[in-house]
Amino acid sequence: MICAAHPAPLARRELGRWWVWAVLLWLWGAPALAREVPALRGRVTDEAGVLTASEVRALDERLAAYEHATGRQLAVLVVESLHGDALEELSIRVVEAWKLGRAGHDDGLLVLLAVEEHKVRIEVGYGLEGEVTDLVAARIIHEDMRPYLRQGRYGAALQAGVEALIAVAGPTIAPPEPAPPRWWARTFLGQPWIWYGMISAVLVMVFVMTWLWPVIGVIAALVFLQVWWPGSIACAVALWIRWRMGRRRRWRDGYGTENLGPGAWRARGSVPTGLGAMGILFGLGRMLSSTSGRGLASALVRRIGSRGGFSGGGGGFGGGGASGGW
Amino acid sequence: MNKWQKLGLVVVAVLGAWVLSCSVIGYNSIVDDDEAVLAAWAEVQNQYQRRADLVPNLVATVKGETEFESSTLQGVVEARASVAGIKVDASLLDDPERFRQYEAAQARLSSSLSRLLVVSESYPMLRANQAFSDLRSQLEGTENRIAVARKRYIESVAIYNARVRKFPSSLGASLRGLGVRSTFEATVAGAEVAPKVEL
Repeated sequence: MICAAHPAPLARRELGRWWVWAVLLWLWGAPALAREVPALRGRVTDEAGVLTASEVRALDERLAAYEHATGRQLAVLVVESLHGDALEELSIRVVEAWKLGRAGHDDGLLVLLAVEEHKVRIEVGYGLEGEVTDLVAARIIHEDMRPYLRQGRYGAALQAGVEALIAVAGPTIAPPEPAPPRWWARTFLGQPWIWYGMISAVLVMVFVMTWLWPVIGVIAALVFLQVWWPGSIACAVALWIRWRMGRRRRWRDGYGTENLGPGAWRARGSVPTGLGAMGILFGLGRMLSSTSGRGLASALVRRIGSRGGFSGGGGGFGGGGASGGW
Repeated sequence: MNKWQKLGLVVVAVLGAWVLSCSVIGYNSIVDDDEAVLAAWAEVQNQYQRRADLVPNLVATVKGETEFESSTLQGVVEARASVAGIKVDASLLDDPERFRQYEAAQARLSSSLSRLLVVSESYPMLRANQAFSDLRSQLEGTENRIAVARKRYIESVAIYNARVRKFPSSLGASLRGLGVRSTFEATVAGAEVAPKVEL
């Protein structure tokens, strides 16, 4: 903007100096903009650096244990300053970005501490508004957290607040996810992306093998039908497409040219070898479709997807909760 | 290609063009946006109602506790009555004049309530009253929910209105008979003037 305002063409040295000024100006002006939502790295995010490592660990372990028991996601965020934002505005932006709590249950909860402004807020997801009402949240802030906050003992305040919130929200196990009505929906819908990738890789390999080696495809589809029926379907689809393409080719080119079309690429090898390979593929598919295979996939996702091991589950918030100061 | 095949091809082409044009002008997707606006509006209503339900308790508590400044209390009671006097339904959204009246009434209730809370600071008896401080935190929580619901309503109306006014999708909207919806002002009238409090 300042560049455009400058009327005369600048000498090279002058220009360089001008860029330095621009960068300085930008650095100086940046904190004045609306506060950015911190990245979600773990259950406890301490931007202000007021918590000790052991306090962070203790809080994190407590919240993780609670989540494993009930599925409810609680998180703690400590910021140095609000940079002029309203506490409630930052809080709702954070929970909208982090999506704490499970989708459908909306059972997330955020404790936000702004150190410089001496303000604290408990933001409650839709699903916990019945247990942690605005009133309850306000009392927890005033009675459990404020005494510690006034002494500057942030870790103890957060610990007390989290314990009080857990006591109020209850150690009860949340109602389990309603089971989808059909077994195929239970098996094939709502799986982690990596599971779909592995399943389709196996299906593609079955398809390719059948394509290259139709005889093996026919035998495998029949013999291994009981092992893993989706594989048999892949075989059948491959055989059907191959047959259709062969027919079209004969219809177009006349007979006697069978060795030129898709039928020309044919793998060579003994039938037991081919059936063995198919058997391994079918076994792999069956393993992936089973409960343990699905569990393996979600474990992989947890390991790969978020290195901190924590991410929001898609819960919604509507501004419930309470704010307070000390 | 015989006569029937040609006829079939024409029918398929016409059907395809019809479906394609429906999706281009957003004949169906405007309904989704409309529903989103109505849902956001219902949430705003819900939270306004929640606040209105808190007011009688608050007034009773303040009255019972002490000789409270009567003009402040009267302001809250009157604002509550004026909010209740406006009939609320979905047609409110399509009537800018009534929408503005409704908004003004809610804004009056907001400011009278915040004035009541500020004035109550100078009554030590009231501040020590547990029932009052409970009501106060409930009221503050509700005000925040109202702010969130209003923000989401504004966002959903922005998406909806953009669709109603932009070119190809405006055709679908006018076929449905859907027009531009009223939205909240970012700040209500008089919000830029800080309320004067004499203690």
